[in-house]
Amino acid sequence: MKKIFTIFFIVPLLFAFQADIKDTCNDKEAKNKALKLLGDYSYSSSKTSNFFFVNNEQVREFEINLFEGEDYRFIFNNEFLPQEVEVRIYDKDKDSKFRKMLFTSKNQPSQKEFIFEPSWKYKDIYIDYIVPQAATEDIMKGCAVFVVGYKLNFIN
Amino acid sequence: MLKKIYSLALVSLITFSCSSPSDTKTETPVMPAEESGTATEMNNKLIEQEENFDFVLPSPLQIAAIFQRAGLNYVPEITNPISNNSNYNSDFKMSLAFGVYSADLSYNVLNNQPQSSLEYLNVIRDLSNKLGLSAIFESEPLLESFEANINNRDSIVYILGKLQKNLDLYLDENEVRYKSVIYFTGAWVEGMYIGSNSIDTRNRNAIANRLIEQLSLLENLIKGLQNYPKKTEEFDPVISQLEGIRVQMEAISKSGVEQEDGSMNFDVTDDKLDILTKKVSDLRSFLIKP
Repeated sequence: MKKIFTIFFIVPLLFAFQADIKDTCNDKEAKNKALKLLGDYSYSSSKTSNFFFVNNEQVREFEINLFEGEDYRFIFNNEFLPQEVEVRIYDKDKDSKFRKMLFTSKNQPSQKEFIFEPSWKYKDIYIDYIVPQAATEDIMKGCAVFVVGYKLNFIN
Repeated sequence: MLKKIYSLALVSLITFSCSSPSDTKTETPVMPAEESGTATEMNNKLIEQEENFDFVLPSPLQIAAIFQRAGLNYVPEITNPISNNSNYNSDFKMSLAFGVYSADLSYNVLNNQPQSSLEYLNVIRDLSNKLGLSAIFESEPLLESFEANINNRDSIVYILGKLQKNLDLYLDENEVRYKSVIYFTGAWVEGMYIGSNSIDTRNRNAIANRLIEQLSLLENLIKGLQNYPKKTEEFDPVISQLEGIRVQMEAISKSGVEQEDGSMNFDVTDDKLDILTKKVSDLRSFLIKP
């Protein structure tokens, strides 16, 4: 009798109150879609950034080094995120007072994939993801994918 | 009484299973949260992991291409001999060698050396098997494509890009992307070694500038090795020698003058270049020895 009570009442209750994570990330598909936007650029590298959506806005930054004379294409795929995450590209890191914003995805809210072709003259580029405050009480997780392409200009 | 309990239990089961959080409009997979994890705690852990690797490393082919474009000469015996492959036994040494040979493969491909390219690709496949990376060759017939297109540099370059994509996907899927820092260390040191040891009067300034331009990348590489999750004592001599190279490059980089076209011109005297070349060569010798 006690066993029946445990199985049918307590176990379902445990499941009901356990915190679950809704993970919308599918980095393989996101990356494959981004790769299709490389066009005539060669694949160089990629980065998958994972986010939990919490009670406050977060800024997550990473750096990419550019080399003289190279042509670059940056591709972002934000399709597998539960909420919109803004992409910003800067010429200097977040501690610099004089940094210049080179790109923002803010003006294209309905778009999930972005392309940006930076000049090598910036040398080091800083990419910021602006992760908004969680819109629901559920624990939400997602990922953004970034792919770098470059041109092998000297190959005839 | 028993009947009542069964009815109640059944209703509760149905109710809870129907109100599962996964029952949303999208087909979002739902997984249980770690026992101690609130969203903030899990996020902080994630941020800590990502802040240790807050940079993107290029492919070995891209590093080779940068020096190639600066007018690098082809020096046949400069690469790490294939016979050395059997000498590497630890995971760390094999991982570094995987990177070194990746740079050698890129160098041979860019210099139209089909036979050597194929030999280096085979070494990389052998090392990838030993390192548990065999999947990067298995998803598609890369080796066969490589052999079939051996005399077509564009096709081979495309295949190398595919190999890099497969490697990155594999590391991401298995949540071991941090391992790429060791592979890239091997590739970067080999690229710098080939670059600094192929200088002649014709390409001297162009290559010297390209060497110094690598400083920001080196800083990220050192950071990645220092923050490596399963760092062992084997890392220490590599990090300290990279640090020595960084100090030398930083000293030279201060002389940089920006040109009208945005390029940098560094005052790299013969003495400074010799010191840098020696430091790079010493580290490379250390990496390729068993």
